Amino acid sequence: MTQDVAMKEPQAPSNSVSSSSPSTLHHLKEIVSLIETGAYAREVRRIVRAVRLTMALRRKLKSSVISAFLNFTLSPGSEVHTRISSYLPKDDEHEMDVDTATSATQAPVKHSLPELEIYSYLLVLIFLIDQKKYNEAKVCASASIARLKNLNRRTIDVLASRLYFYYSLTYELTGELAEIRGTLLALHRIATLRHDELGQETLLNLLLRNYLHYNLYDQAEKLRSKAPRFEAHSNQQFCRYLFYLGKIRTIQLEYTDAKESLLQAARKAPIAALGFRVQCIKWAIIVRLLLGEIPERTVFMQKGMEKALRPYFELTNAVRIGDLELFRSVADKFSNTFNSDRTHNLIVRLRHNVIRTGLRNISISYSRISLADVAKKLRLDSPNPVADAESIVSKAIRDGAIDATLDHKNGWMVSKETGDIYSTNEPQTAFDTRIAFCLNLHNEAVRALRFPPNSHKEKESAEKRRERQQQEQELAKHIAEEDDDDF
Amino acid sequence: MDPKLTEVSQLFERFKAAFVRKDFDTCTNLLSQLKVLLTGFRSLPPLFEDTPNAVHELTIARDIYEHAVVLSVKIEDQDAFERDFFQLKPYYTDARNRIPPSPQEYPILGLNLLRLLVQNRIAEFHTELELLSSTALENPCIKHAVELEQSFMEGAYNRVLSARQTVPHETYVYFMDLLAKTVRYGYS
Repeated sequence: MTQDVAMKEPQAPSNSVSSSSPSTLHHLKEIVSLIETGAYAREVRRIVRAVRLTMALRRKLKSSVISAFLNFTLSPGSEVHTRISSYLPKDDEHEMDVDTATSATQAPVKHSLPELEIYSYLLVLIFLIDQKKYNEAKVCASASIARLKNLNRRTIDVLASRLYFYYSLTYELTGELAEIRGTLLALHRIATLRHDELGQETLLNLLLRNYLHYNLYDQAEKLRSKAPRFEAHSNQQFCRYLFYLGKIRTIQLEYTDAKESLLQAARKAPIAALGFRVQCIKWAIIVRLLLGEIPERTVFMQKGMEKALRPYFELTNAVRIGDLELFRSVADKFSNTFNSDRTHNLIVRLRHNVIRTGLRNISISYSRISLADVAKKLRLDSPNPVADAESIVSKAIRDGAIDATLDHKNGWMVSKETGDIYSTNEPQTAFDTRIAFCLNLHNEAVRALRFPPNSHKEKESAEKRRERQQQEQELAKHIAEEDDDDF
Repeated sequence: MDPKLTEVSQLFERFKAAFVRKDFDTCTNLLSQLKVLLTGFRSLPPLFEDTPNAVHELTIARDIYEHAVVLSVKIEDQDAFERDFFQLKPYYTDARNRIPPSPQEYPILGLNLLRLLVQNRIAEFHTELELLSSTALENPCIKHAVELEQSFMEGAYNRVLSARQTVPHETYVYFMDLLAKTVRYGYS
C-alpha cells in the first residue's frame, strides 16, 4: 500500500453521475466513513454495521454508481483502481470516461486503507452476482481472495468472511464447486492461524456445504469433528452449521441428535430466511418420522410453507396410518420433489417405520390375530407372506415396539393387555423431558443475550473507584486522627 | 513404452494367470510387489499429474486394485478388503472424468455395501449409499445390497436367507454366508 501514499484521490465524483443517483452514492460515502473510523479505531462493530448497510443498498446499485464510488475511494490511475474497475461491465464506457476526465483535477488526499480496497472488491462482486455475470464475478472473487491472503488485519475479518461467502456462491452458481475446495481449505487454515474466528466459522460452513453438495458426508463429518469449535460469532453462520450438522447426523442414523440440531436451526433462523427454514423443517419432519414420532399438524401449516411442505404432509399421513400402499403411492407421486430435496434415500428408510406403525395399530385393535391376516393388513407383497409376517412381528417384539407374544404353533399373534399408563413411570419421564427441554431453552436464551463490550466492566470499575477513594479518604482521616492522638 | 509400465503389465499378467489358477499365495506375493511399483507412477492419486501415459497408468492401477479387492474376498480377509477398497475408491470418484468407467465398478461397490452390512456398520452403509447416483441404484448388484438392508431392518430374515440364492455375482457368496450366520445368531 506504500505506493498509494503518493497517489491522489478525486475531489469529488463527477456531477453528472452524482446527480443521477445522489442518494445511493451518498449512502456509500457514509459507509466508507464508517469503515474508515472503524479501521482507525480498530472497532470491528462499525465494520459489521457497514456491511449491513451495504446489503440494504444492494438493490439500488448501478454500474455508474459503482464506478463513481471507486473513483471516490480509490485513487484513479492507481494499480488497485484499474484492476477493480476492469471487472465492471463496459456498457457505459462514456460515463466512465467522464469520470476519469473530471478527476484530472485532483487534490492530494490521504492514502486509501486496505479495508476500503477489500470493501470495493466486495461491492463490485455483489453487483456482478446481482447482474448474473457469474464468470466476471468468478474472476473478481478469485482476485480478491488472492489479495486477502496477503492482508492480516483484524478489521478486515468481517469483510473477508463476506467475500469468502460470495466467492463460494459464484462457483456454486457456475457449478464448479469442487474446484475451490483446496482454496477454501487453505483459507480455513490461514484463518485458524490468524485466530480469525468469524472467518473460520464462515469457511467451515462453506466447506461443509461444498462437501454436502457432492454428498461427501464422510469427509464432511471428518472435517467437522476435527475443526476447532468456539462460541459462535454470527447467528446466521451458526444456523447454517446446525443445519449441516443435522444433515450429516441424519445420514449417519443419529436421529435424536439430528432432530435437535435441525429444530434448533429452524428456530434460530431469521424470519426472512423462509427457504432455509423450509429446508430445515423438511429434514426435521423426516427425522422425526424416522424416530417414530408423528409431527403435529401445525408444523405443516406454518405461514408461507403449506405448499412446499405438502408432499411431506401426505407422507406423514401415510406413515401415521401405517398403510404401505398409500406410502408407496405418495413416494412415487412426489418422487421429483424428494429427489430434488435429496431426501429420497431417507424416504426409502421410512418404509420400515410404516410397517411398525401398522403393526402397532393392529396389536392395539386385536387381542389375537392370525399371521396371515397381519400380512394381509400390512399389505406385504411377497411370495411367502406368513413367514415374512412372522419374522417381522418377532423382530418388532424383540425391539420393544409392540407388547405381544407369538404363538408359532397356531400362527397367532397374541397382544398383551395394556395396563393403565398413569400407573407407570411414563408420565413422569414425559414431564422430565419437557422440563429439561424448557430449562435448556432458557439457558440458551440467556447465553445468547448480547451485551456491548466492556460497558459492564466500566460501570463496575467506576463504582469501585468511588469506593476506593472513599476508603482512602477514611484511611487518611484515620491516620490524621492517630497523628493528632500522638501529640 | 515406459519400462516401468511394461514391468507392471508383465507382473500383472503373471498375477492374473495365478489368479485364474487359484494360486492365492502367489497372488498375494505378486500383489505386494505390484503395489510397491505403483507408488512410482506420478499420475496416480493423490498426485494426479498429467503424464503422457496417465490414462494407461490409471486404468492398469484400477484394474490391479479391483483384482486385489476380489482376491481379498477369495482369501476371506476383511481387513485387506477394506484397505484395498479405499485405495480403489479414488479411481471411481476422483478419476471419473479421466478414464472410461470400469465394468467392475458396480459389483465392487455392491460388495463393499454388503461388507458394511455384515460388519453391522449401518451408518457407513448409508453414507456410501448417498454417494451413488440413481442409475447406480438401479444396478442389480447395488439393488441387491440395498434390498437386503431393508429386509434386515424390517426383520424379514427369511428374505435375507433366501437372497443367497439370487446373488448377482459369485464373490457375493462369501459375505452372504457370513450374513446368514449373523441372522441365525440373531434369530435364536
